[in-house]
Amino acid sequence: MSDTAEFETFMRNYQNMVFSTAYRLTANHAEAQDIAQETFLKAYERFDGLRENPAAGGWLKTVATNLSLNHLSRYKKRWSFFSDLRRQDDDGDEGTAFEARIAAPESRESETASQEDTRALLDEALAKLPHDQRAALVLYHFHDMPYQDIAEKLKVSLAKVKTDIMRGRDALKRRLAGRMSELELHA
Amino acid sequence: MNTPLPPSDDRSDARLHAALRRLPDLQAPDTLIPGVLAAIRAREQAAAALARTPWYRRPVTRWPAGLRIALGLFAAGLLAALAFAPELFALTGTGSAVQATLTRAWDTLSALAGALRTLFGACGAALRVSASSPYVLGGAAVVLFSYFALLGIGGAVWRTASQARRS
Repeated sequence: MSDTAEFETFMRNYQNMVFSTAYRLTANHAEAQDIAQETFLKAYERFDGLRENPAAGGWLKTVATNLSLNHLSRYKKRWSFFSDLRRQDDDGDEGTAFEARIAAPESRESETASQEDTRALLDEALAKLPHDQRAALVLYHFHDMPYQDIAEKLKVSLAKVKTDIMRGRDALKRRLAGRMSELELHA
Repeated sequence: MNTPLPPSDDRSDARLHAALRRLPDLQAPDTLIPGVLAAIRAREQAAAALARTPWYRRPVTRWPAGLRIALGLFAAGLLAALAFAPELFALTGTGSAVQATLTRAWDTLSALAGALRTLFGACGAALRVSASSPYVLGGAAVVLFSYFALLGIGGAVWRTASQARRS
């Protein structure tokens, strides 16, 4: 098998994980794709060391996480003003509609929402969190990072990390009101 | 290990944590792998093109190592020569001729700097006089406001467009 074909197989094995890592931090499809692409380009540069390495997945996840956090910090500096405006709009309009969908499942066509539906809603709720809360929450819950490490990674105080995670969780629970029992059922 | 979850809401937090951990990976877009492969091909083509380019037409950072070392040594020698120029001139007896040349060059530069100072001084004075006019102040305020308004509109449009690209 040629190097390129082998690398293509390598990408197929990890593309969903890398894309998910980037998407859950950035909550933006196009940006997550760019970050995933950059991650794989870095992987290609050191493919000789990665192809047989069982830690390749961890390496890719770390690179995708760091690239996403770098992206978020650049983005935050440039566009936080507009982003905050947009987020407030989201909470005001789309957020209400979203909560209405969750809080009144009987208004949906199917009253027995599937496990996939609940998962999709959880992903959607996660994507709707403000950047700070989402990044802290994702690093805590998906990457098993302690608060102190998250604070260092995000270059914020420990107190802010704890507050962001708590608020993020509360927001998710609010948005998933009425579905928490389903989460338990699927546990 | 993570800090334990707050006891007040321990159960629902634990449920949420478990639900988040069980979330499956999202499906990567179909265009991801072709995009990476295209970028790799483009890089390899650029590297091949660079390899075909003669060294003197490449950026200094892409010169052969030997040439880069030679350039570094030359630059260091030049700096050393400049640092010890007075001593060298004194040794070779060419100090006064060089000094005369440098003095002439310095005089030319001084004259040029003086002319620029005068020009900018005149412009500044003219601005100070006109700045007291309410029309000029108003115009400046309009220009400044338009600049920030356009920046804001551009940013808002960019954000909206980028949000719309979300799947």
